[in-house]
Amino acid sequence: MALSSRWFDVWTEPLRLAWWNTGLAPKRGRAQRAEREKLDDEVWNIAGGVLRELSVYGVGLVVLGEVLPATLGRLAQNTPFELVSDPFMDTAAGIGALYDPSRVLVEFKANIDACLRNRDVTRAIGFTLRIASGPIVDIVGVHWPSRTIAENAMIRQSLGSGLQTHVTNLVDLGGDDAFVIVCGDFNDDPFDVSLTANLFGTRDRGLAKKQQRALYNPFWRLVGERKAHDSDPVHEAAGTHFWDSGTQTRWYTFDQFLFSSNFVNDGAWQLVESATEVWDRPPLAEDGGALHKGFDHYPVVVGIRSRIAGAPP
Amino acid sequence: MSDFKDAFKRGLGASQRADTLRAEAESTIADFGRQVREASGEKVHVYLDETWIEKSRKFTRGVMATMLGTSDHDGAKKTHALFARVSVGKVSGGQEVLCVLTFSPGTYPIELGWETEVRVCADKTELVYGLESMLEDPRIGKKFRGLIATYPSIAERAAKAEQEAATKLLTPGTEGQGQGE
Repeated sequence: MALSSRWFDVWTEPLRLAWWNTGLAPKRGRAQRAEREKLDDEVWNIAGGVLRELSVYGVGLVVLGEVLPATLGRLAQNTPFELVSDPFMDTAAGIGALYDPSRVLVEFKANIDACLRNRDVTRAIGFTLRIASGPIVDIVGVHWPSRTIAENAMIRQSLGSGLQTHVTNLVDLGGDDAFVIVCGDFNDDPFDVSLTANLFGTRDRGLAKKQQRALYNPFWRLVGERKAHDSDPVHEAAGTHFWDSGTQTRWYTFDQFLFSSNFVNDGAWQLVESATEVWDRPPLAEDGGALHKGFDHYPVVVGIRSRIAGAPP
Repeated sequence: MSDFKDAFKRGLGASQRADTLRAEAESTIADFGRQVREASGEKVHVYLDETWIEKSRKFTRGVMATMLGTSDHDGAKKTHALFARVSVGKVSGGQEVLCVLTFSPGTYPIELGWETEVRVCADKTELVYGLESMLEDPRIGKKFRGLIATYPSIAERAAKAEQEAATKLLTPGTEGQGQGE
């Protein structure tokens, strides 16, 4: 597939990538799915509106959680996004991707699974992202099991270790051309063991530069309230996921992007960290930072820039 | 004072454990090969090739494409391929790559990659499960069917080669006959 001449934009402005757990096709039981189906056109209109707004915002790829192929097709309507599809992509993972072909080319690469004691449930999907020139970016979208079952904490840690092995292998094999991004709903915060000790996600950019197997996690900076109490009267989302029954907090930063070392070194692709944000905007956000009824996650957005493609002569 | 003696001993122990686990993983793979050979009626032979990256560059897609596309890096050295081949005696036919196995420094976790699938296996149980999952994949089944379909012609070639060898043995000196005329 030929890429559009708009690739030059990648140099002049960051290429934005988004992750969003839509909640449109939850894995949780039949009753909840039925309840979700009852949510009328309003939910679909808002979800479609989010996709259109993300496109206007410069997002070239949206990796989505809790979706089915039919969901994705419906979401892509009236947007510039195309669906990444492949007969071998494991739809049971509930992960999909939409991309804007005028900006990037994205393809399915692999179903990535830790065997987990003979439970063959795919929790991660690998994609490749390319632009007209420059190294390919490996993107792994994940959705780890929820906190509603206590033993899932151990499973998330195992998944973190398994994913770390996969990322390390990609980085070892790719050398200077290894650009790996892991994104998703981890059902853990940036400081939890699964993301730190197991996946080796770090808040320390200097360490991520030195350690090839480390993943820099810019979402450490987005944990909790982002503005001081006395600085701005407008309340914002204090995380990416809202759970009303939370006792210590109702906001969690479960949705994150992590970047391999080359993104923060002098690699061909660079992390544009200032573009990192919790996308708490209309039509999803209501006054006071609350999520619109029917949704419990905000999208998260990051930016990367190619130092090769579109470099001025 | 630093205790280098203890660290030294721990290093020896870790190395020994890695060797033991490596032998265990190789034994699992050998068992996999033996069972595939038996299940195929002794038609298909499976073998691990540690130098495959230098030899083969025919994949363009999926997990293996990544590994082939970057073979100059050190990381490639820990990645091996598992091949399947039809052979009868010394006569071999075509072969197929079943999967690539990437060993960690301590052997496990082993990453098993085939077609568009990746399984990270933390121990022997998971490696066995991963290999079973691979065998159940229709794309791998298709490779085996393709190989088995070539068996009659390989067997015929092998029989012919055997016959020629036997003829040569029975009539010594025939090789040079007629050359002096």
